Amino acid sequence: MIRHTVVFTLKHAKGSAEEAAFLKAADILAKIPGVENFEKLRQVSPKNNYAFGFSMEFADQRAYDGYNIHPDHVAFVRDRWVPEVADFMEIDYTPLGRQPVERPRPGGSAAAISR
Amino acid sequence: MITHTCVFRLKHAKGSDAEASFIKAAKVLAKIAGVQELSVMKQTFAKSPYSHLLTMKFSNRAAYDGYMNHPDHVIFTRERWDKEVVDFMILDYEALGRNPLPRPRPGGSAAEAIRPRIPAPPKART
Repeated sequence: MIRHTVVFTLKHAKGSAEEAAFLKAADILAKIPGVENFEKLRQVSPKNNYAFGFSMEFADQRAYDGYNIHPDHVAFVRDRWVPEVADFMEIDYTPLGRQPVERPRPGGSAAAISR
Repeated sequence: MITHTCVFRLKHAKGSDAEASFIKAAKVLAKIAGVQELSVMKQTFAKSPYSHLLTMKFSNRAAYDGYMNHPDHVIFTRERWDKEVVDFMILDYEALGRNPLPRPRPGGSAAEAIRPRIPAPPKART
């Protein structure tokens, strides 16, 4: 399991119609194949400036990669995320004790993870 | 429900005994009253400066505050976190669509925070 999260602030005024429209538009992400447990969150810690978060889970790296290149995700990023998000940070995490799914690396070897 | 997350980077080498010791110590926080579903995870987004994530849930703000002030949490923060964590960020989440849980405010009423809110005048934001 990989949990993909992004925490962000919008350019829009708090409570504005534009803010609500952006958050509603994000629902399309939940329908992309491989996306599980999609959540739209309010970030409430005063120790950072982010206002919202999205969180979703993927069964494996293949599902995650499929999401990243899915046309609905690409269109959302291009048409809504880039124009409307002021600041963001991505955090992904997996349970401890499992090796991450290896991605092919030019000149690299998957054997690098064995100790 | 509040999900409390601390994403962090340790000073210890990856896979070291010191790293394992820290993670084991952090899991003791699960015993503090009010803490639900505590877990320590591995942060895997390549561009992030953080290596781990500590996450837990609280049913309400009182449970959250009780954890923050609990002696075992205070001691863990002082004896382990402050000494072994080199960088971190705290992110707390509630489900969208609800107003934030009211916090006690001097001179304020918790009730007013849960009434339907009139949108505040736009503030200059950059």
